[in-house]
Amino acid sequence: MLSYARAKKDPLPPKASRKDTHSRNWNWNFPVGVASIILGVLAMMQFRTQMSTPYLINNYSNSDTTRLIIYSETERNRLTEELDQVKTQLKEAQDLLGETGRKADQETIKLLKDEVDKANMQAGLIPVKGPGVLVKLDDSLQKPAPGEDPYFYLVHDVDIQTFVNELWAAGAEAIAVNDQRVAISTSVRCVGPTIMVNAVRLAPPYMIRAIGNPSTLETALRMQGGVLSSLAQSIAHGVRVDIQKESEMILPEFKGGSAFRYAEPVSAR
Amino acid sequence: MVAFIGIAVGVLVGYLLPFSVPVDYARYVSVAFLAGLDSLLGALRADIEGKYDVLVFVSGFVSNAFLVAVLVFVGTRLGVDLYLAALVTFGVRIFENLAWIRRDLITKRREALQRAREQQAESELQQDGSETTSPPPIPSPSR
Repeated sequence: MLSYARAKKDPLPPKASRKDTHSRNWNWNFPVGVASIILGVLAMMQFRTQMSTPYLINNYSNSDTTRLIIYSETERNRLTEELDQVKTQLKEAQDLLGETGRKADQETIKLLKDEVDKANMQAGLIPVKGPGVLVKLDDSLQKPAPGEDPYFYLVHDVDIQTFVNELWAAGAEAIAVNDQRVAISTSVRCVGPTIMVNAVRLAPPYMIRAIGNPSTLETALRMQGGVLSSLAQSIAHGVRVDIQKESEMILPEFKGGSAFRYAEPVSAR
Repeated sequence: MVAFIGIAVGVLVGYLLPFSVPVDYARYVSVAFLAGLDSLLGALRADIEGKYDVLVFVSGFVSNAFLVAVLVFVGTRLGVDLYLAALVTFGVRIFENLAWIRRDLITKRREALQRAREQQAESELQQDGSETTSPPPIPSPSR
């Protein structure tokens, strides 16, 4: 472009002949054009790469994700209520079944009902009450020094898991963390700053309630080299652990799902 | 003009092409782009200064791209960001070339204006020969 402008305005160089034009094309237009095209393609490709990568990672904004979570939790709560209603209806129907029908049938039904109640109790599907221990765990009130790892100032999922393990090992018959019954398929894990039990977010203080022989359970927890020793560093940083015996506690039923889609019973007998 | 049309065509082709660069090679492309831009601006500058040589341009374009690829490859393998060297070099050269193009253009424009003025003065001188006073001296442009 610029060279053409010069050719027009500059009176000094002679007019370009046919041969000059030809060599001009070959020397300038073709190589520069090709180089420019390559350049453009490179630029566009790079641009597309830049455009595509952040969108893949950050497809949802934070507020979108938050809304999604809130919606899902509302839906979850609604379904839990529905499940409770259905369970109540089932119980009523079972009771009704025991009161009607022939005498022999009633006997059978009563036996079956006892069986079902026992199974439910073992699976943690009905609320239970009894004596036991209450463990209260809470984060430290002290603030970590600037730059200090806050690990030992907080209660972690592993701590709760350790307590639950110890209580089971000491003969606990039923355990609940806050309002979540620890039963089959219970998970205790850390999600961001909160601890989830049975996929429900819990807030400190964490109340671990276990039904069993109170003194046995307490002794197990206070055992030398036991749970409290492994938490010693946290306790030194102000994490509050409080163990007390209770004469009667009520533990809620397990509300999680118990559908078997892959597992099936082996009838070997 | 060819350069601008070429870039426009290239962008269009790149837009229409169905694939983009994998993230691993994004570094190669970014430095190669700078190398190409440097070569192109160098060619423009050389053309304005009347020193353009097709062989110099093409060989420079290819060898720069090649060297850049080698630098990035070796740098990735060694864990040293060698591509930064290429990035800085080409960045500096691009600005340098642009500065020279600007100056060359301004100089050329000045020279053309001066020539036009001289011609006008000459023709005026020829038209009325009785004029005795010489035209005022025109200061030569300084770079």
